[in-house]
Amino acid sequence: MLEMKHLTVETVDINKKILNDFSLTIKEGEIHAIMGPNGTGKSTLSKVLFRSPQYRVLEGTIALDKQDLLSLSTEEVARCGLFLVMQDPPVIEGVTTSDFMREALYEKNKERVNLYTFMKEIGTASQKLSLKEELVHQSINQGLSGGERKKNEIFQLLLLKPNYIVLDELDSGLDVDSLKQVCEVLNEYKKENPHVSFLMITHYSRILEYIHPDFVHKMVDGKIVETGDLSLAKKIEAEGYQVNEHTKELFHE
Amino acid sequence: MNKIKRKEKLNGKKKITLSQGMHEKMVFLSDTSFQLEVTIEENASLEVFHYAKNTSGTIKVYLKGEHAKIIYHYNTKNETKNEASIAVFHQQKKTESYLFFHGWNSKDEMLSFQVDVFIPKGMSGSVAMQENRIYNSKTGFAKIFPNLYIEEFDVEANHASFTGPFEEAQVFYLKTRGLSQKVIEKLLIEGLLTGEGLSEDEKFDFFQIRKEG
Repeated sequence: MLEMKHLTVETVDINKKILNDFSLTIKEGEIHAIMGPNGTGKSTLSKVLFRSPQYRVLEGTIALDKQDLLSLSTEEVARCGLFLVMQDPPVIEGVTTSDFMREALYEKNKERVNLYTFMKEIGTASQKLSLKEELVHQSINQGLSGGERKKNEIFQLLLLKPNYIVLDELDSGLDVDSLKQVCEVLNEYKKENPHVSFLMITHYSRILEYIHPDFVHKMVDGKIVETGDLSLAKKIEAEGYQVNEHTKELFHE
Repeated sequence: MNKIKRKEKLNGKKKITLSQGMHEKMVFLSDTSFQLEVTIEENASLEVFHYAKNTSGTIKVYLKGEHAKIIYHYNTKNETKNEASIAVFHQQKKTESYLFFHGWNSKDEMLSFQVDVFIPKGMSGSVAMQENRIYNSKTGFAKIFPNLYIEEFDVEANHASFTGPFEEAQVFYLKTRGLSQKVIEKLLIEGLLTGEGLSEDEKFDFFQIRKEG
């Protein structure tokens, strides 16, 4: 279970408060979606979970199966089985995806992966995603389109087999067919691993048509202001992110 | 693609001339100071992969004939005070230079690159490109002097230079996959310094990154 309680977070550089008494609990096997306007703190949340040095936690706790995540480093959080699909993964010249994945698997399992097994897994994962296999032997994300970068993220996920997956705007940069394909791969992964939990961060409800969430949360000004099912996503799509008067009053309590 | 013709130690002075129409790739390894002078004649080209460790040196390249071309990859791992300099003289029209100077400054000393390209008036249609990068340890010092002296209008030229620590976004990304800082540095340094010039065993032996890790 991943529990975030009363998180208040600010940026390190300009001390701007982004998350404001944010709380959310994700139980094993659940799929949650957070929707919110630009600048409300959705991507910040994903980075705070992974202990980004850009953010300072002022108050609150994050626990993964009762382990205090705030006491861990970024790499230790990842080794706990969390995986972040980044909105805009960087280009890293000179380091190939396959090389760094091999190192990541070693860090995770503490033993070298057999090269034959590794190559076979690379082949299977890239085939599932229709990702040209040669791309994973090139520098990370160099020369890749937005869609290929997202596929490269899911490719890494398939190799590392995490238990908690944070999808930060997976739908940005993916065309309709690619989004459908990537979501099908994620659904298959979920079917094979029912205990896996998802936290999807998105602006739009389109992705939720492919990966059905158990809970949809509306996030405004750094906190969740409304929770519901898929119908909430449709309501947001129709009405936007406006906050009603009742909720505004709650903000000031 | 040209096969690598020579792989040798480059310490002390050395002169190379590529005659008209020759195309070669060479690998040099330096661990004491060096002075290299290269002359490239008409329609000839040379690609160099130069790996230097804790040493200083100077390189001069004369592009003497039309369509002469040099591609120079200089890669250095540095623990002491060192300087590498290259000067490329475009002495004919339609000559091309591509310079890639990369360094890893792992201790608290100074590493500097002086990268000069001269294209005088009349050398039209020439191309000059340089990309220089030094990753620094927290206590190291680095300087890059990228200079393009161009007197001719009809020239294509660009340059990029970077000195500093590893990029935070790259380090964070690799950490989110469970890699430790030590492994990340190893990968980024190898990525910066190694090219196709060395075999895997030679990279391992020359840089000893894994042994030190």
